[in-house]
Amino acid sequence: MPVPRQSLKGSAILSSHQIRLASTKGGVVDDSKLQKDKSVDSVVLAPKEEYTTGVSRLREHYHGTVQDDLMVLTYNHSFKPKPTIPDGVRVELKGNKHLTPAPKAPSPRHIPELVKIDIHCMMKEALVSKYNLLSGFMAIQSITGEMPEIIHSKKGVHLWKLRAGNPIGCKVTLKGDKMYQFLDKLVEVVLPRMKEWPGLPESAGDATGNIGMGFPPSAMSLFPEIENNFDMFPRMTGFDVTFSTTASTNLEARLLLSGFNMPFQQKVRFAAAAPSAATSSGPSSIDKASAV
Amino acid sequence: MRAGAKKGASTSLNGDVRNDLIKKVLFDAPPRPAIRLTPEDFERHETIERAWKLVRQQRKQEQEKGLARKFEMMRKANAELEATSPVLFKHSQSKERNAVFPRQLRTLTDTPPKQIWNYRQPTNATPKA
Repeated sequence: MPVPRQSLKGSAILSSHQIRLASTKGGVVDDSKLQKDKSVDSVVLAPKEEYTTGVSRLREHYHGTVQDDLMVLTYNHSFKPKPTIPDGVRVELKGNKHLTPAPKAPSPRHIPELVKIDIHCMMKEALVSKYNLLSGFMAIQSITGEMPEIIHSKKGVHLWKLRAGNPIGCKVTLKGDKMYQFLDKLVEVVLPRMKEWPGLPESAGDATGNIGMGFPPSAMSLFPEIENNFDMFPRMTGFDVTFSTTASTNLEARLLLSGFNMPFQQKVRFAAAAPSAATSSGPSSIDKASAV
Repeated sequence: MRAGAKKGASTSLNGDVRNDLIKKVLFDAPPRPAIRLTPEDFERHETIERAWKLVRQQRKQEQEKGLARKFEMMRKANAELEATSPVLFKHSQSKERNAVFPRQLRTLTDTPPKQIWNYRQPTNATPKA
């Protein structure tokens, strides 16, 4: 009898006695074959969710350059912890202000990092026929390399001819190497080619360190995977991208993304006593800044 | 015309042949056979995975040590400045509200760019002709 093996945490082993169904991404476990191989006791490998195989350009850039600088730029020596709100107490802020999560004390472990990227596309054409969603589905899979998940409507809206449970969009979450690869493609290939895109706004971000942006259908055709076989896609669709980070403020999130060369609109500001300023104040033109 | 088919109806999904192909590629393709390993091969596989995980762990620990060291130096410097001169300390703590990395920031590449540095790039300070 073979000695029971100690497996790594996170690796999935299927022994001949256990039959666990693989995820939709991997191969289907063939029950009949497993019964035959009882004598051999061979093992089936399940696919991994996230993998780090080697060098990821943007990850190395983050750990080598951006992380250290972020630690310095986001350091606050006069940090005072906010008083914790006891359970059950409801706090109401004046005006439209929302309650934000309590900021963490500065520490070498609390440096803003990109955790995941969510890509989501909703297609109105799917209201007419659900097969119209296939184009967006295939496009997102080509762009990201991950199989998206179909989103069904939770409620029905009669005005838009939407019934509850209709497939209406698809979304995918990217982590790890694939996330950095997608970000790389965006920043190096797609964004420079977009016409008249001035950069992310200066005020971008929800207050909890995530930044979202949307793309028109024309942007989808700029991806190299789609550009090469443009005719195979019946319909180009717009999509939105959300960057989730461990940053706790908008400033930190913007700093993090700009560290990956994500362009932000920068308003030219002048000191009060600067009469020799020649250029007019306003967003600096992205055309002048050449991509290195 | 086939019996029961409406006039003008095509066999492809929503009238587009490409949708057929996409659906076939995405959903109707036969699943790949599951990878089967003998016990010895599995041991080799696990050993390699474990070794790689160990390498990554060690690298991460080194990195974290480096960061912790730098952070401690920064904290000490700030504390010393605070103790030495409150005015200077206050000025040192002021931050730019919308700070971002410069656009010219260069990420890692295997080879250098065609244009190393653009000496003729117009900046806001250069006077317009």
